[in-house]
Amino acid sequence: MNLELSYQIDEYVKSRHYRLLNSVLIFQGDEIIFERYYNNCNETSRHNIKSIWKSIISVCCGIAIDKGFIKNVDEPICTYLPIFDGRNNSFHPLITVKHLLTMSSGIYWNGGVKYHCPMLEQFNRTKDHLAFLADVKMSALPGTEFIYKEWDIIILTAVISAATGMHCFDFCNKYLYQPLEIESGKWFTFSDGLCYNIGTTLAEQNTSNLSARDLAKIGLLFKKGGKWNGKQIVSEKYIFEALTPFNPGYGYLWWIYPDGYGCSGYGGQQIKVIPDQNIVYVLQASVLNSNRDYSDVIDLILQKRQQI
Amino acid sequence: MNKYIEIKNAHIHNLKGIDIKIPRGKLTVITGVSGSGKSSLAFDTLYEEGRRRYLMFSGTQLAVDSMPTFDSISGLSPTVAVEQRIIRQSNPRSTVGTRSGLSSMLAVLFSVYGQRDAEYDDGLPLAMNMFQRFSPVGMCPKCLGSGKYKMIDENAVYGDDSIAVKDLLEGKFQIINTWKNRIADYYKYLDVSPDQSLASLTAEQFSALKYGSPKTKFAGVNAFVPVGDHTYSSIENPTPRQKMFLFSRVYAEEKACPKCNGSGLGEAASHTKVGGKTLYELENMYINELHDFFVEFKKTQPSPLLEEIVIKLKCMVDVGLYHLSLSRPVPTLSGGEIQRLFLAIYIIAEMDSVIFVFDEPTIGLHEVEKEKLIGIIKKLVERGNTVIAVEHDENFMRSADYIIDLGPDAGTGGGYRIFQGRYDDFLSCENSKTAPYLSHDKGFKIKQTVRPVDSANMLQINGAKLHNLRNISVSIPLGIMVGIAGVSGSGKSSLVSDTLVPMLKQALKSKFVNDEDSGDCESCVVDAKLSGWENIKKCIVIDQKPIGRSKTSCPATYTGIFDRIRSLFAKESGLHAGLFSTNSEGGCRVCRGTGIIHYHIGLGNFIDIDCEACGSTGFIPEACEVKVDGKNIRDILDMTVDQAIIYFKGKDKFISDMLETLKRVGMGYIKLGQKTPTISGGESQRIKLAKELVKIRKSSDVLYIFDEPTTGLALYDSEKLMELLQEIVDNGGSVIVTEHDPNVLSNCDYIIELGPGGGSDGGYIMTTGTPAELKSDNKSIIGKYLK
Repeated sequence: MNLELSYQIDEYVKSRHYRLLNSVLIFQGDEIIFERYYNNCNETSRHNIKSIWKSIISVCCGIAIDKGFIKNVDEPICTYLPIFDGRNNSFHPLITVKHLLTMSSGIYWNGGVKYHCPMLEQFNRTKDHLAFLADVKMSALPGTEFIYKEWDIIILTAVISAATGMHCFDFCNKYLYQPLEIESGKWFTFSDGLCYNIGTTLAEQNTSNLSARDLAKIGLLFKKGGKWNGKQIVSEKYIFEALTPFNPGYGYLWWIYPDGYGCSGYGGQQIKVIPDQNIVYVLQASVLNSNRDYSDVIDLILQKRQQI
Repeated sequence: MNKYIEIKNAHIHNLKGIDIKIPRGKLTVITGVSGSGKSSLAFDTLYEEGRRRYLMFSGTQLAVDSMPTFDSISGLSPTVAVEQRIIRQSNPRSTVGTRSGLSSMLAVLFSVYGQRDAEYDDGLPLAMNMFQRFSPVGMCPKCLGSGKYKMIDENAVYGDDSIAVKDLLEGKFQIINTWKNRIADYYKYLDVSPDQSLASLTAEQFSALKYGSPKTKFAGVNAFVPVGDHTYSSIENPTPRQKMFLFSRVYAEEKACPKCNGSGLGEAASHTKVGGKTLYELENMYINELHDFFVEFKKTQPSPLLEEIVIKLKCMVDVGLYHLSLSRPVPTLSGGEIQRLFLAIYIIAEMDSVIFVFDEPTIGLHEVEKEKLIGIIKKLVERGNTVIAVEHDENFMRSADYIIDLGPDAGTGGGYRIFQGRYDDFLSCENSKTAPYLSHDKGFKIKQTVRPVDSANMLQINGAKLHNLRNISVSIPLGIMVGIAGVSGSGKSSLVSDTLVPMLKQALKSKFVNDEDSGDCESCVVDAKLSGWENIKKCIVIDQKPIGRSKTSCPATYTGIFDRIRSLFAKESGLHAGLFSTNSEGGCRVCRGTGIIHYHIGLGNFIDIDCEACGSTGFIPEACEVKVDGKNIRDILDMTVDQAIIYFKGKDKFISDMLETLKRVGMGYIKLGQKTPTISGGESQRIKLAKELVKIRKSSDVLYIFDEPTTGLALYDSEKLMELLQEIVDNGGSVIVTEHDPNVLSNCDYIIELGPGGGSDGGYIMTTGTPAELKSDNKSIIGKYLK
């Protein structure tokens, strides 16, 4: 760690008034080349992961397919969730796992002013959450329209739970978190067993929090082709598919950029892999009422390092 | 404070530089024959200026220089106008409840006092927007608040399983053309032979046929049936053939949404009650019943909110809206109902020192209801407001404190101030065309003889029970003029527009004429029997729906004379006819042929500015350069019918005939190019009548159905129109009119009266007979008003 660089970055963060930024962590290869925490945080403090959760679920889905719990991505979801067999809407049988992974189930979603669908409020209060989702109007033929939404990811956790016979978190913990030595609390779970990392209260949300170093492991896992300590956690085939843009800039719940790929969450949470530079970085920030992007901090660090 | 509003030298449109004095804090009626300049004075001068000044000092007005249409106006205060034409263009989702604000109040009431069913009580507080069906928090997720749901009727599509797959795809649905490769994929990957019958398919093959399968790109037959308002992307631009199939109701029946049972509301709202009723139930009660319900409920649960709700409802009952429900969409209200809805809102606001400008508030009201309405408007005046109404109604004028009469004739022949002063003095005004009717010097011409009823020539309706109709049976004599009377909501429209008209349409098929081919009637299944229609050669329905749908349509385009005018210009100049149309190559590129540019200036206010590119003509300069007899195309559109008659004399027979007919129906004052949104319902109706009259030389055995034809007509014009209707009957035609006006009803040969009340109190046949019989019939409500 270069102290002078740290000092320059601290000054930059201060000058940009990035008061919410908590973690900046950069790996080159397996080595940490920059690590800095603000607001009394350190490498053990855990922060909200927001939509990075979606990418984690994608990894879980890949593992479930590798292990044979889910047949393949083209399997209709009604194989695992009978309520989607067409009894409510004749287009439900067309929805496949791949549609959920690519945010194109065709289920109606009203993005609302700041993304969060106001209909989520109804969803949170309903008694049978899966039945509610099966009732929501279909607004497009499955597979034809990319709309970033919560419904698809929530249904996907239900698919994983049903296919593996395990709570989605338990599955994730057993096959992904434990081998990678990631520590996490059990995700918020509704009374009817459906889980969703954005619970109704702050305490419920925080159970899924992860530290910056833990998040980096997810990025490193993908960079290394799914291998961790010599063991294949998730198949290379799945990673390849997940990073193939099915929709522009979006694979299987992973974002794809011109220079790499990664996961991103509301408020400035970010994992990004830049294969050409052998870089994996993590940004974490406290969440207020607007989305933020702190990647300029990383750009500056990488640029300064070259000068040194 | 000024005692008068004084306008000096008003000269907009046809006004002839007149000076007007209107007393403040009084009820003033502006009258005159149609087209005499009443609206120009009340709306275009007084209201526009009042609004402009208000917007200016509140800082929302743009500085727009426009030619002042008067020298000075003094004594103005904030001005509120209720024009029929403006409100007609409201949001299709707005309802009586949302417009009056009662929906929001009920939403609050439910969130505070709602009793939840035990099993749906999650202990969390209820929020107001959970009771609003167009808020994503409150809407039913399945139908998104519409309450309707389309379900593909699989039995209708696949019921016959002896049919071959090929015949289903290529024969029945003809989808082979667009999806040839995908269907081939289906056969290939699902191992299906095109000649296989549906019955022989395996479950997987059949499911793939219906819904498609991940194995192929074929999305299944069901993808061709639209299930929601958001159509599937694959059918966004359907071919005509697809369209034909897509929109047939056979395969996707619209039902009440199964999740919310048609309420459009989410779970929380569906299981919360106030006084034992859900929000949906309350919204569908008649307003008078709802009022009584809350009066009772208030006793158990006193609260200021309930107090307010009851006051609002009482007000709506008082202005004659008791027969509506809160769920009724605003666009389906009649012009009179809309006016009264707004009136109710203003009364509730309890403002004073405001100038209200109304446009014929008594339209569509029964005599009994008119008296009530006059009382309410007088109360508004007593509170310190100034009310100015453009009105033709005799009783209304009689109640006015002050009368302004414009005239003497329409269009260029009008625009003079004939009279201003007290009602009593008005009666003796000799120059006025209206005063003689009021003073009974002349009186409305009432025909003394009635044509006999021919019992062999009657339309017989049996078992009509649509809406509030009480399984009634009625005979409507043909070959004479029949009036259908009854208070608002008594079932007149349900009987004529919603029962008789659809049945006639079915029976007569191609001989039925109704320009606005509305899909509405198809959807209501009429459960009644009709006989006696065999003698009718043709049936023409003339309603008050606007003419044409586009903003640039006008009387000239609607009646078809514009095509002739264009070819006249094309012939003269040797240019293409399309150059003389604002919808075609002749239209100004900047304003898209409208001549004005519409700006939103914030706070829901709009301002129209003349388009500079075309000098507000809407035409490109090349089109305006061509002149025929010294007039260019724009000049022609600015002509009134009366002026055009002179101009087109000897030029084109069709145009002349059409114009003469327009004049006969009392539309001599209307401009050929007047935009549809500024044409009132009554005017639309008369333009439609003119269009039909020109086509039919002989009216024998033709049935004409009118919906309040004298709406918006001055007494003088009504009389002329009645003569025309009598003429139709004299030539062997039949006429059915739904009407409130006692003058019109007195001139009918036979009257059918529905009643006794509106909504749940109506739906019975009260009495039938000649006007003379009704006068002495104590079962008749209208009887005592007949002449």
